[in-house]
Amino acid sequence: MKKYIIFILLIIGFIFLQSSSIYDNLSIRGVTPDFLLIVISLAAFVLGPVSGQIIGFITGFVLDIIPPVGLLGVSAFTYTIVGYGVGVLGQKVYGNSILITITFIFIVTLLKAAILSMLAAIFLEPGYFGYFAQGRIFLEAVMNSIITPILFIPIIKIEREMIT
Amino acid sequence: MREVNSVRVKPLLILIILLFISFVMMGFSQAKITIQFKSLAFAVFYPFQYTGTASITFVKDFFSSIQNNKELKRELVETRKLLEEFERTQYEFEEMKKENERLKRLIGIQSELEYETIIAEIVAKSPQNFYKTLIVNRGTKSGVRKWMPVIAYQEGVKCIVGKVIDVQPYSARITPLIEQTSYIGAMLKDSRYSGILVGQSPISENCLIQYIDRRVEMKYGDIVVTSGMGGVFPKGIMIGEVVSVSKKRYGIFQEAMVQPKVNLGRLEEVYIITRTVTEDFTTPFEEE
Repeated sequence: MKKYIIFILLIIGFIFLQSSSIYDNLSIRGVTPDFLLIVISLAAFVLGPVSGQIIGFITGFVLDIIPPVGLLGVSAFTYTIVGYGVGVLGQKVYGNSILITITFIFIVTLLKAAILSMLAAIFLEPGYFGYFAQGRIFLEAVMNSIITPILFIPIIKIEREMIT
Repeated sequence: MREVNSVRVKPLLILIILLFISFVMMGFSQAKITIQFKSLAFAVFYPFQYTGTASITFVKDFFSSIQNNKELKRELVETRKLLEEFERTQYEFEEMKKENERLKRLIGIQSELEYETIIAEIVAKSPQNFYKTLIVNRGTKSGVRKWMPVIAYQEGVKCIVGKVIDVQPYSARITPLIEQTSYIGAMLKDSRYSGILVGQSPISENCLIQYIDRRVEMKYGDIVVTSGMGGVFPKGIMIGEVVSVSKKRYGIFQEAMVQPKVNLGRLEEVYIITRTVTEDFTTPFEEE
């Protein structure tokens, strides 16, 4: 239960952060890191696929309604898949390895962009690939990979303390 | 076994439900849903295509940048050479511009003079005995003749330099007024009393004006100009200023030292007055 509380608190904190104007100051060449993606992935690693996808769905839904976006449900859809995928694969390869975590985050960021592009192609403009066209997604993936250890190490430490 | 299957199915079932809910929300939030399978397939495969192409391009650019580096180094060397040449050309241009302006100024002055002149450049000075002679780059071919008076402009003032004593086809020798063999008919500008100006070189860079009436009050700073007597130098051209007066107890004349206006050390060009001089007008004290 304590683990859930930790992740929920982190998610609430980062939702406020990503909704605030401070978030834009963290951008490099117009690209900001996705803290929520990292937290959802870490949650899926630690808690498993069911918890991962539920946390992903709720987080995505909250992001879609605060503030209201044009395509309601797009973040919920994306983060649900991320939570499930990381949860399933992470259980097999995770082992508290930071390198594996960083690699997963990099791939998951690209996966997020692919899902968003697909959904945009269906519901918005056919052939919408703006996210990939400028290569910004790779910068976001690198930024997420760099931030991952900063969040990963404290979370793992707390988890170990809870186990002991 | 049932429990194992249940454990595996449960997450998948939850996933399907959640995705369905999300999909429905997206559907209701848009007025229409357009599923173009070509676009959909492209959307799925495009990221991987892009990643692959980007990676290959990155590697290709890396190796071609090594080749480009060599090209850039060669271009840099060539550009530096061009730049040096340009700087040289610019320097020459600036020099030519200055020379042009100088010559324009000279021609401008020449046009203001009341007599015809030939502009000549000093190409050599006798290194001994305080500029005993000056060599200029104009000769008989330019119309220069022996005994022609020579003037210059210093600080905007027309002043005497000397006279031509020897002429070759393309050069001429000038004896300056400070030369001990130089005699010029001079007078005090204010009082109009005349005398003879004699050079004092190598003893002094100043000249001595002699045979001035003893009654004349000469003082420091009095202007001395040419008197026109002797027939060599036109009248009224600045010679210099009185710097000291020597009045003897006896005799009817007095003398004074005159500092020439012309600064022979800074002289670069002169004007040779092209007036014909006949023997009747040469003074008995001329050297040649």
